[in-house]
Amino acid sequence: MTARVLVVEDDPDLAALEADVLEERGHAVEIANNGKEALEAVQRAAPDIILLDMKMPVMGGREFAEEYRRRESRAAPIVVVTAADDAQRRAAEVGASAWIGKPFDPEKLVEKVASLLDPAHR
Amino acid sequence: MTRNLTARVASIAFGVELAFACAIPIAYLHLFDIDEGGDRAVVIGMAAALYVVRTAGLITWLALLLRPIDRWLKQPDAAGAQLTLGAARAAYDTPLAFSIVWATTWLVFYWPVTAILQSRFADRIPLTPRAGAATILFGISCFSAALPLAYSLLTRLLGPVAGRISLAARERGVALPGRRVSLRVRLVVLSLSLIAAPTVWLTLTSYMSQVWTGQRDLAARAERLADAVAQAPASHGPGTPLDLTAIASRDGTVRDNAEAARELFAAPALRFRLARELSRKDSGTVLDPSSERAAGYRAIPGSRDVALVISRPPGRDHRAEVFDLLFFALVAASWAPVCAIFLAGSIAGPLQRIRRVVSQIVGREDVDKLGRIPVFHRDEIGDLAVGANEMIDRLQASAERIRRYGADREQLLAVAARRAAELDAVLDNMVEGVFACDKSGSITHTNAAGHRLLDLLPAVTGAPPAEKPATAPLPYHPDGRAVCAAELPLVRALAGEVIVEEDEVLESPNDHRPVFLRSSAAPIRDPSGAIAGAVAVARDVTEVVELDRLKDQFIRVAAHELKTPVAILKGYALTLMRTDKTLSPRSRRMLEAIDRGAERINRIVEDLVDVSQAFLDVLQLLPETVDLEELVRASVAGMPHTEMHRISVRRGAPGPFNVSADQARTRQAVRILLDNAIKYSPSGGCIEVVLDRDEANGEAGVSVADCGVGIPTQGQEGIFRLFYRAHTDTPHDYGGMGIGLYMAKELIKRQGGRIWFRSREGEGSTFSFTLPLARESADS
Repeated sequence: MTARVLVVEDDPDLAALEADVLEERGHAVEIANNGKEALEAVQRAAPDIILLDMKMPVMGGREFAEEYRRRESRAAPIVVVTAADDAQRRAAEVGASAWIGKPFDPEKLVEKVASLLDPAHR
Repeated sequence: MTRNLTARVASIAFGVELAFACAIPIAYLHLFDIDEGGDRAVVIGMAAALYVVRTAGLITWLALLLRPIDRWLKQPDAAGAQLTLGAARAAYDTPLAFSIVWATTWLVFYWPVTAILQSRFADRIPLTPRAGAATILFGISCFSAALPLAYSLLTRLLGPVAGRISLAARERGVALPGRRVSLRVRLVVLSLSLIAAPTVWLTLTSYMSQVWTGQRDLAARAERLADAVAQAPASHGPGTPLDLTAIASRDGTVRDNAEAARELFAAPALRFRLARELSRKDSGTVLDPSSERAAGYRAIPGSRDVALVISRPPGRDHRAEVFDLLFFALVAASWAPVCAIFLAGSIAGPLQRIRRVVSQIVGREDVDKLGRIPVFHRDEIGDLAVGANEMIDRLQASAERIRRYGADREQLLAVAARRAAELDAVLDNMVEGVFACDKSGSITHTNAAGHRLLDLLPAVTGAPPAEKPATAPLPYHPDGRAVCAAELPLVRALAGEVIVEEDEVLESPNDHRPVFLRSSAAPIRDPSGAIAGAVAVARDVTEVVELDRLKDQFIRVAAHELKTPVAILKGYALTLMRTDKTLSPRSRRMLEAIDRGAERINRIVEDLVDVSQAFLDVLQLLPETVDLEELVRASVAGMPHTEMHRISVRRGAPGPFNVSADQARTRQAVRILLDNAIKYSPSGGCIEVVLDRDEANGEAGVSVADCGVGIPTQGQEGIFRLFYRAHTDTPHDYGGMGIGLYMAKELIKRQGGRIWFRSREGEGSTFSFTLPLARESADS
């Protein structure tokens, strides 16, 4: 099952990596460099899933998540991708469906996305 | 004192004696009733000659006796012990010896005089034994009078020099020699002499006047009256009451005086002797000592009868009695006071010296200025002086001791004051605030830093609430809980607790910024172990805490920033390996190396974050029931497999091994031990992991044993210290930051477990830890 994935990540290389592995599995990936761009992106086209970095310039992951949930009544699941050592707590704070700590095995990321897109799971 | 002691003593002693010596011949002449001028001249001449000879002899002997003293006096300071000893002996022994000899000369002085008189006046002194007895008694009287006088005089005269010699002997350490004459004996002898001299004298005079003077008077009177009656026999009367005159026949019969006849009849001895004399001579006298009667008779010229006079003694001879009394009074009035003066002087002088010293002592005068008391005589007073001297010695010794003690005390006080000043200086220059309080909690000492802290933060010292300003902010724990009064370090130290480096936070009253204080406190115990107070040391560690916070922030930011590039490296490497089927084996090895390198960087970053958290005491631990066996087996399975190492897991005791622990952190600890076991077994081998369970201690354990290089003995001590590496600069230095074992220890310790190791260089190491069994497991 393919989906539209929004990667919100300020590091272009990491964003590219995430995009590469997901596109290879047939997902359509859009990249936003920060929360603000991400908000614009979700307005343009609603994603099926959002991979969200927490620490970004202009607008961080937390602010984006709050704003996104305030705007969207039917929000897409969010996977927090963070380097913070308390990733799990942060994910819970923003109401994320899952979290993944940096660095990660790209295969794990793919699995996590797949599991969240799985209708049975949802 | 005159240089020539002998001359002085002799002149005074014999000068005093001379007055009495002049009185004695007068007494003697009176005693023996020698009233004719020629006779008296003979007696006085003999006495004077004898006196001169005897006095010259005595003075010569005295000079011999006193020679050591005169020699000593010439150089009293340079005299040797022997000379001092001789002088002391002379000074103490001379009075007694010389007095006895002196008095004895008076005992025998008039014996030769009497002997000569006896031969010269035999017709007038017919009673030879009685004259001898009288002379002996006279001698005893003189002896009794002379002995106390001579002894008192000599002791008085020699006392001062004896005292001086005693002091010199004392300085030379010479024991006082000489015969000890007890004061009691002296007083007894004196009083006996005082009794004996006048008593003997009075007895003697009384006896002699009766025996000699009375009877001879009677005989002379009777003879004279008989002459008168014989001249005029017709006109004689009956006589006087004392002298009865009569005419008697040659056979002794009284013719014309009945009283005279009765008188004769009453004295038969007189009657018989008169009758015998009448038959032999024409005139004569008859004495009868027993009836105290004398009869004188004279033939009447131209008659066969005789004139007879019987004389009776008067009641008493008043003139002689008055003489005796006057003489006795004169001698007694001069002799007794002289004796008393010298005796009193010899007793009172030393006593006054002793009294002076005692009053000096009582008056608390300077003990060092107390002189020694001379020993004037070897008697009780001398002993008293010796005792007083010893007392002064002891007083001076004790004064010296007290002075030394005082000096020592002064010195100690000075040292103590210096130490206190040093301590104050040290304390005041300390960065830490030091507070001491007494048992009641009142602050007794605060150093300069302490005062600064007090100004800033009065509450931290733990002073009783009453002493705290009302506005004082209360401290709170670093986690935000308020610190109540009973939790203050000094208050707890007063209760006996020792507090080591506890942090409290206060809000600065100036800028309301938090001030971090690190306090230690301990009770102060007295020698018996009871708590006498407490001391607390507090340090403002705000800067240190701030630095720690900055360091942690830096590590977190750095970790965060590092993790993204690591994620890219690792992600692409893994993706390439997984997706590019055309990769050559060489390229695949390169990608694997990139992945491992990225993983190592990631591990280092994670370690740094952990260490930082452990250091800041903010390591998050979430205890839950964990199956240690499952955890261990999963960890072993997750280890990168190498061909050289074989890791086996076995149970050392029957399971289960459920412990109460944080799963991730426990896994981290196990992994650190497994990593090390592999790392330090470079030539491979078996790594054995043993699970154990100790029901009694309520704990389960894991030990990881390798057969690697082991830890050198000298490197074992600090093995759990942060950044410590036992193999630095050895062939077995396989890199690393020295963080792993520190973290393992922290992780296990914080979960209530223990960690230890056993190792021998070249034979491998065994690291073990325990964790508390989970409650349900322990119960089962």
